[in-house]
Amino acid sequence: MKSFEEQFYIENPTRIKAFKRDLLLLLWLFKRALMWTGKGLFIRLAYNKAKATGKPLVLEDTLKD
Amino acid sequence: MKKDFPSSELPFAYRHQPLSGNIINGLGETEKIAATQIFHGSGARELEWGKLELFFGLINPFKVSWLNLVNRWMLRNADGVISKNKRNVESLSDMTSEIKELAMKFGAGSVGISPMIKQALYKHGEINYTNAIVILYPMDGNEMKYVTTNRAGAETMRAYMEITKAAITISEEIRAMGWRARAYCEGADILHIPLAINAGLGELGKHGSLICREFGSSMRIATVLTDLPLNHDKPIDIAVDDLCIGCRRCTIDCPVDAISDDKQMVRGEEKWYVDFDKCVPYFTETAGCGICIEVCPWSKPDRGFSLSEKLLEKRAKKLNKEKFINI
Repeated sequence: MKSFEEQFYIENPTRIKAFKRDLLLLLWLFKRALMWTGKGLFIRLAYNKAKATGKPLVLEDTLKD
Repeated sequence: MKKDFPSSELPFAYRHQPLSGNIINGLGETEKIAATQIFHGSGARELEWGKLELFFGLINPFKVSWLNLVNRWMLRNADGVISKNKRNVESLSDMTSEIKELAMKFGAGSVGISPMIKQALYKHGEINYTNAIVILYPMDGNEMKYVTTNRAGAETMRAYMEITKAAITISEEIRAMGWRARAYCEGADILHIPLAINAGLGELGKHGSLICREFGSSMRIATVLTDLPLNHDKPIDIAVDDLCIGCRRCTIDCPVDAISDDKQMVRGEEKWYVDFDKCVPYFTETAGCGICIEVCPWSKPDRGFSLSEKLLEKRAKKLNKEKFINI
């Protein structure tokens, strides 16, 4: 899997390459925003519950691949 | 005595603990080997402690998450079009002064230049630039008083955004001169601290962070890699060790006892080291923690220069005394 820099840093890009990079980056950001609002919401709720009950949240169960 | 920071009891856990971050970091390793990314990756690579990093990202408050996304969007301009009209560098010192002035004008709090060194690369990292312009940006001391809370976390992210803007603008200016340049900021594929030390910006502190005279440890680092020919700064001695050896502020205040009083062998080098397995889970729970940075005597506003001067003076006196006794 490539790092952020490997994916989105382009040396001397053409206009088309830069446009394509921007689109892919927007998609990447959108996925992350979606994850924070969707899956993230459930995780934050479970996390708050774990804090209130004292029963630790198991990361492997919460963040399944 | 420990201050009243959040408890070290964490509301989350791994069922199967990942490979110790200390082993991955090369703690006890006597050979000089490259570092391996473990936790703070650049957001797309599979890392050994990646689940915890993902969890950290998801429990972050909206403001921090939003600033992070905006920062990533800005980073698309970290590299880009290089002007075909290459500017000749007739005087290295003039060009170096010009770049440093530009960096300060664009918001850097401090700037230094180092040759690109292999200690700044992770294992399998390949980055072929000759020079590194390292910049520092201070965090707001009034906000960083709230370490372990989302308020301090948001200030950290704001500082990242400001330093990202500065680093990108510097890289754009250099590319406009016809030279290759690329800005590396938050969670990058390079290690900023070895470059900052080599660029004469400061020294490594007991708490594993850079200490500089201007801001102590209360700052963020970014680097612009370039082929533009520049003069290099030399590493400096500001007497960080003279204080760190005897000072126990960070070791005492760290709620998880992650900071050691002695230097340790890490990847073939005797240096200050923070226990990864103890530090990072607590860091995740407390919005990026930052206790060791906040309590560090070097981080007090306008303290660094006078502190360094006093410590160097004290050392010189001690050396003179020893010389006299030997005579």
